[in-house]
Amino acid sequence: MRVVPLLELRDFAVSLPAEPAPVRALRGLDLELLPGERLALVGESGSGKSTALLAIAGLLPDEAEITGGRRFPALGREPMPGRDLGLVLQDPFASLDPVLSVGEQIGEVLVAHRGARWAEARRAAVVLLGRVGIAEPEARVDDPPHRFSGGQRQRIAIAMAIAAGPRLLLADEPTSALDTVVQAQILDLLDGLVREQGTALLLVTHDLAVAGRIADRIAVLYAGRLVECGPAALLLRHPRHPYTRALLAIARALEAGTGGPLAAIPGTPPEPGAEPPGCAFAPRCPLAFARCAAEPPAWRGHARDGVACHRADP
Amino acid sequence: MIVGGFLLLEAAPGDAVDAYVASLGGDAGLVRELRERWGLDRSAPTRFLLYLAGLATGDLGRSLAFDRPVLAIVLERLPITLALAGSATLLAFALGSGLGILAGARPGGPLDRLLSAAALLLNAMPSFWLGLLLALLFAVRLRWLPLAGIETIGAGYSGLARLFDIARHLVLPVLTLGLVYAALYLRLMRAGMVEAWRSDFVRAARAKGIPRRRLLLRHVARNALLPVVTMLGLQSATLVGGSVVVESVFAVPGIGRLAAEAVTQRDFPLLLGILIVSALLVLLVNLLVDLLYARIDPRVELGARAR
Amino acid sequence: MTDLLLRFARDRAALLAACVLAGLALAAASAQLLWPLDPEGVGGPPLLRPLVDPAHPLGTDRLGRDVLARLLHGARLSLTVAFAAALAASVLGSAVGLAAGLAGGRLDELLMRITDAFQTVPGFLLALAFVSVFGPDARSVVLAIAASAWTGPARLVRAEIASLAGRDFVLAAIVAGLPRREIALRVLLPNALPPVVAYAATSVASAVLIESALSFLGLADPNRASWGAMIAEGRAVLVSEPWLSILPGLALLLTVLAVNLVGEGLNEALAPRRARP
Repeated sequence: MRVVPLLELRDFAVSLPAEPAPVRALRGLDLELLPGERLALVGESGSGKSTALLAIAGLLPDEAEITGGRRFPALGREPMPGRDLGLVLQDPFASLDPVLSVGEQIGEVLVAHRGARWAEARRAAVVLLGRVGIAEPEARVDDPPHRFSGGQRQRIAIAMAIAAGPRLLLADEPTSALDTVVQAQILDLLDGLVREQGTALLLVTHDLAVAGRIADRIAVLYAGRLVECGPAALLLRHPRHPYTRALLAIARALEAGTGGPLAAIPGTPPEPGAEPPGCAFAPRCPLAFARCAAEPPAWRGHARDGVACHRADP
Repeated sequence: MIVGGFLLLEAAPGDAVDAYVASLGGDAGLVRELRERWGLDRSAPTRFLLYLAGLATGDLGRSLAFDRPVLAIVLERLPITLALAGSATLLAFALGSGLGILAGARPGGPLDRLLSAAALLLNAMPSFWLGLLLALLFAVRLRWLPLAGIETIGAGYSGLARLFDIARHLVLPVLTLGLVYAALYLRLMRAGMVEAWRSDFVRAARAKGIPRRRLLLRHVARNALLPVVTMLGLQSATLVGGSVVVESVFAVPGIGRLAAEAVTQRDFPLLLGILIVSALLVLLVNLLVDLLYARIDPRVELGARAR
Repeated sequence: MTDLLLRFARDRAALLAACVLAGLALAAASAQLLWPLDPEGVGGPPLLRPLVDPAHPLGTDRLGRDVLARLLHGARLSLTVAFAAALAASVLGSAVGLAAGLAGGRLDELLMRITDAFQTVPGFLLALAFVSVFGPDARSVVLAIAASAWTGPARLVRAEIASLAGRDFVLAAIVAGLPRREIALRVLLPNALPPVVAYAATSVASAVLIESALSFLGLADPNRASWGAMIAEGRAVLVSEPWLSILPGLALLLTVLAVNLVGEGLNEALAPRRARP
């Protein structure tokens, strides 16, 4: 019996307003997320991953044009932000309102969605602060955000996102702005929390190591299109797409601290709107041949596990 | 700042007195006598030092036209101007911010366009012209409000009735002065709201699914308020200047009108005194605004303040 | 430069305003040619209504002077005073700001305190003081306005210099061994000027308003037609002939509005494009 997916994207595309002409940040994405599943969306900047996240959450500016299907079958209705969806943004210094106390910012989620009154909400906020690892929550619940460090602020942001017990947590590079020690702590925190609550997680990151640490499945994005997708462990051990392989090689080199020339993929990703015909990665691909430049590769496999490359076997 | 203030004022007495004396022209004997009487025969630096000494004890000199101590005259008229300027500021702030929030809530929407256009027009209007128009409409055509002055002369009101009478007389001046600044605050608030709307924390707040009203008021508007409050302080100087004109239009006996009279009568001690008092006033207001700002923005910690 | 103009042109309101302003300036400059009546001379019967007599399309004032002529000549006065004052304020302010920003240390402190002092005194009162000292003519009005308006450009330039000084192309110039004065004039100043230019529009607008306020109070040159003075004169007959005060006020409104819109357009054109989230 098939489990009803929590999130389903079919040929999902997004155009963002820009000068001189709107730009297609996302060019037809097919994605599926089951309840309680952890999916990492991996890609470089400009790949469209953040746009995808914001589009799913319904937070793009009104002028953005969205086409394709976005459904939440397991919910049976349009998701309500806060109650069904939680969002954690990248920059912990910018995602908290500077003029309100952290307790109030967590509490208002509960007041809005759980019908709590402010006194209870404040108590619940204290509890949440403790759960995300803020020391002395009772004393600090009325402090304004600027009294906390970056890592702490990100914990508070997570508390805000899960306060109402959403079924899906969206995280946009939640650890990129933090130093490595704190990164690991935050990831562990996220891991624990979603496991505990059975929350599905859609995490956007440029770092394969981060993805490998926390995700069940990994989806790799390049130039607004999905190039590979599959179970995390498998993908990391046997990447099928040349781009994934290159990313993995870089991650390994950085981790091993091997000397020599900086590991990098030659060239740069295409500007959104200026993608070449055929496979977008072809100009930088060591395996490219004539067909790659002419014809965009079809997706081989199925929605949860596959690859788009002329050279790959699914 | 005080040092700087005096550097400025140092220049003034020098010119002032010479020009005054020159304007008298004619009879050298009379000129000499006047000079002696007013201590103008001493050299400029001496005069300046004397003036400073006087200031330290609160003596602002004597008015040439009224022949009374400047300080006394100014203190008499100050409360009226304070009432006028204060009410106008309150009106401007409340009206401007309030409408600014409404406009900023739906940028580009019909209300926004209407309000922004109105603000643009109001900003471009000379205050005295607005005053005359309002007077024409309300005092003459509709006869709802009195045309000029601060109270109905000869009516003999006292106590609460008198207060009410004064208030009635102040409505038009306050409205005139306040509307022009309200336009400014409206545009500022609106801009602040649009700016705040684009920020990360508002996006995160939207993702929390909190009700729109709370989002707008508690998050967006509260943040947009900060630059408006700052502007309050900065505008206090121009507001005092504005009261000069408005007081003249409506014949309100405040220090603004006093200043205008002092100019026409070349009463320099008086003018200088008014300048000093208003500068002090502005300083005071700025201080108050700073304190207010510290109350609303938790990021500002009073104590170590870098200029 | 051309793409600046192109960006400016995209804002239709600003473009319209610029045309209006240009038209106004042209009309003011050629006032004599356009409508050869003497603004000071008694041309017709007093208090003639507008649109009644084609010889005086906008009527006459209490002394029988033609209103249209006075409006046009008033335009000339207002515009020249305003532009001159704004120019003076910008030049003086930029000089002070440049000196403060470059020198740093004690001189900077000193200059900023002086700036503070001038900002604390209400601008209009300062203008009043100047006018009373130097007498009521156009030149002193220009000086008076500039005396309080220069603080804006000064602060602006100083802030710009401070932020520019750390930038790469400046460091490159220093490394290349250019003499300090050259760096100041050729490298820093041109880059610090754009915000001053945009601010100048506000200066012009407020200068127009201040000048009209001064002449309304009777403190400017009584021999020249000025919109403010016209409003003041019209005040005596406000109830019976309101148009004598309304018309010059409309002219002021239009002018200031146009200047403001042009200024906003300039600001938009000069500001770097913000990236969309």
